[in-house]
Amino acid sequence: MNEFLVLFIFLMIITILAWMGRYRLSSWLFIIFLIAASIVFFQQMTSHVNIQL
Amino acid sequence: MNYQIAKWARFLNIIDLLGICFILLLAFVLQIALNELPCPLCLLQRVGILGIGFGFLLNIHYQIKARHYAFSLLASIFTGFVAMRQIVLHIIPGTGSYGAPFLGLHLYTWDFILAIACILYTTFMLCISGQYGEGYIVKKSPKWMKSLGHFAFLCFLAVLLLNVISTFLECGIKACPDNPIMYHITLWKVI
Repeated sequence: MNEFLVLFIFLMIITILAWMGRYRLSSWLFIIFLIAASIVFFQQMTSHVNIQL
Repeated sequence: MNYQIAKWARFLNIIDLLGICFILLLAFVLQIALNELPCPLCLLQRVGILGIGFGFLLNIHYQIKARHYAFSLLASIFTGFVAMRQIVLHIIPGTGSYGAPFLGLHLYTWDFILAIACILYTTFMLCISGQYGEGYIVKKSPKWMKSLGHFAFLCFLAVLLLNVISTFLECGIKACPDNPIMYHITLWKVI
């Protein structure tokens, strides 16, 4: 699965929600987004040790 | 709370968001002009930069709050870590690099510098106490600033959409390759 595509689409939804006035929801979703991005980063760190070498 | 400080802090947030959009557009220009496909860590750095912009976006649309700066700060730290990880991958002489250098440094090095600058800037902005307070309402801001705020939001959304399209063309719905050399989906095939 393309996790980056999911992250971009997720952030796009959060941005639209924030602009529509759903402040609380978008704030919580942004925290979830940051956690998800961190998980993807750790997955990149551990599974692709020789990435780009 | 000081109305003038709050007004100028909001204006600075709009400029910051436009700056974030400009940086990502520059990355797109280099991607297309030099035909350099972003690697997984490069995409993750873009995610982090967009995250920094989201905190500024909340400050523009709603009242300025320390929480919004904290969002930008967290995203800056995240971006810094990802960029540092990529620098470390190429730190040993002879291990090569990813992409062509821009103004003498690689894009991931620039990204690391940007992340550090964002951390310092956001921390500085966080310390200005006059901008916070319940009394300041966004509706009170001048018309030109409201229009500029809407423009910044549209730019941010456009950059996000461009990233969605670019990532989809690069990898499709499958996991991105470690060292991408060509687009997974080419536009002429779609058309």
